[in-house]
Amino acid sequence: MTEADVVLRAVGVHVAFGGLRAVDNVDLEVRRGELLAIVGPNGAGKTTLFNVLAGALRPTKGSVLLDGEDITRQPSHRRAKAGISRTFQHVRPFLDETVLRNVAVAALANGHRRAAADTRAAELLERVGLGGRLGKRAGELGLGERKRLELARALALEPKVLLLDEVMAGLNPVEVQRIGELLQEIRRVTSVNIVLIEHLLKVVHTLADRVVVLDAGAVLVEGTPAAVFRDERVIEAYLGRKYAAS
Amino acid sequence: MTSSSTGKPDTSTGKPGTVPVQARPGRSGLNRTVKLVAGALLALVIVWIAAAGSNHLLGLATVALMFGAISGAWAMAGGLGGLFSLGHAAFFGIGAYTTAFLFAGHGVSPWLGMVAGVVLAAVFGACTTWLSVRFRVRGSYFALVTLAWAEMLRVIVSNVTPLGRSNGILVPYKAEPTFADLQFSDPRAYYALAVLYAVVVTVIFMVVKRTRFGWRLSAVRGDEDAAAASGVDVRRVLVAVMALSAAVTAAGGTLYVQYMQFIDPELAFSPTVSIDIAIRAVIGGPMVALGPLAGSGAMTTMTEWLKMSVSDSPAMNVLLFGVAVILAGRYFRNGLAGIGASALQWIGRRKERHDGS
Ligand SMILES: Nc1ncnc2c1ncn2[C@@H]1O[C@H](COP(=O)(O)OP(=O)(O)OP(=O)(O)O)[C@@H](O)[C@H]1O
Ligand SMILES: [Mg+2]
Repeated sequence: MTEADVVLRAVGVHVAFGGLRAVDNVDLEVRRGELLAIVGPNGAGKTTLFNVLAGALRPTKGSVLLDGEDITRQPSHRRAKAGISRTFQHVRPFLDETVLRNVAVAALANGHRRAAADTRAAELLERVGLGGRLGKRAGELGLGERKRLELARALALEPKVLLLDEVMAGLNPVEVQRIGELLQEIRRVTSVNIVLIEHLLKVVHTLADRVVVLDAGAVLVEGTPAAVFRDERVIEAYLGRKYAAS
Repeated sequence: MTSSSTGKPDTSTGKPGTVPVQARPGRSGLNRTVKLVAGALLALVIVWIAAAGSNHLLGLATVALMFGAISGAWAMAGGLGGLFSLGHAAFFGIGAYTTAFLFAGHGVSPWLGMVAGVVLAAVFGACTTWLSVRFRVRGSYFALVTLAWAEMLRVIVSNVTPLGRSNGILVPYKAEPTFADLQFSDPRAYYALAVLYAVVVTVIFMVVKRTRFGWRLSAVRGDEDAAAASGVDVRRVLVAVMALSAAVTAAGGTLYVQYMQFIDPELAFSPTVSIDIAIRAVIGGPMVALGPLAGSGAMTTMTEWLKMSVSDSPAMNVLLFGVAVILAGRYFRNGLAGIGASALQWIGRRKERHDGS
């Protein structure tokens, strides 16, 4: 693994909220072409780590590198333009705007003019299955549609890395299936790298090339899905509780 | 496409095409009609007042137009940008004082005074907003901070001797004013100027709303974090819109002081002025280009009517507008403009049902 194979890298990232160590000395690399899943129990620090990668949060310590360039001090909007785009765990569409505008405004970041941004947005919305909803207010969409809207908005930035924070949470099996297929299609037709925070282990199994398990802010294990889910520490820290509950 | 030059992966599959018609929001025929009708009505009233020949009416209308337009400038920040300012008197006062000081004290043409005031106000608006955004001061706190800035200016100006302290500045009236003096012997000239100013402000508002800047602005208004994640420089957008709003407001300050030929710290900077500016837009509809002008007309009309029929006490006025603002905030978020639009939509639906059966 040479440095050129790593698109996004986090080095020794710490985030403390008061006395709480939400992220504790995490090293992470996103390799070119892979789909990386991040799993871990509630409160493990997954979203906080995303916020650091996307620039929404400054780490207390450590740094973030995109294609080898230190971007730790870059604000969110610069990173969005540089190629890191993200969706929010709790979806945040622009509720009063139309579906089309929600995505078109992100397409402006590529220097598109309005007409081109609209066209680009319409294409992406078509692809995520919202082609018939362009003129609707985003506030009128259901949760599944909002998640796909955010996906289209993130894609409109033409990212190098797509950070997806639980895009399937709260959806019914049909919608989950649909987003899974969508992600596979995106990988097929583009070279975007996807990092996926996901609770559904089945999804992780089928989609991910590599898995990183976070627990209490630190990396517990990483490896292929098969290897990781067989690891005793993982079963104990995370799966054990889940399996016991079900 | 830009993707090849920046080395970013191309995420497109489809060919570029045209966006379906339904995708274009806010272009429905009904909406258009509402705007046209409102615009035509407003134009009619404006012409009628000019033709009516009453100087009293003309004076009221001149001030209503000036303040309506200033309120339109406010709405760029307060409506489109979601930055609810209660300190626009600061920009108004900067415009008025800069002009009056340069003209009365140094004989500088008010047109140049206007330029100076516009620049000063823009810088002041940009700096104060930068600070608020930097320290994440928003919502009611933002409003209070803007109020405090304007109060600060009021206190400072009240204590600066070259600015006349609390006595203010009397603008000398030239016996035979030229255009360069921005003074006129015919009151209709001021009225025409106010109309022109209102038109310019309305056009700027519409341009702001429709351009890419406006798209970014409404994203920021909707959700700052999501906007930032979509590549929008939130701080820059907010600072820019306030600078613009301040600049346009200051130009109104110039016109006002040349018309009234007097300014003092109360008239320029008091919270009453800030509230007056904000209220006209809130009542009329701060998201619509003609909203603030309509609100201003309604407010001036109401004030005059109250003066004549109920009482001369300003308390009555305050009370009534308090109620109006509460109603607007609770039920008519888009003010008079919103009421007009819903009414027409209602009529449209009824007609549809009627035609259908
Ligand atoms: N802004 C904040 N201020 C204080 N504490 C926070 C903040 N954000 C997160 N935390 C805390 O940091 C820890 C990690 O939270 P985080 O949201 O990153 O977890 P997560 O792994 O995404 O969990 P989940 O699976 O529930 O989404 C939690 O204990 C959380 O309460
Ligand atoms: Mg989370």
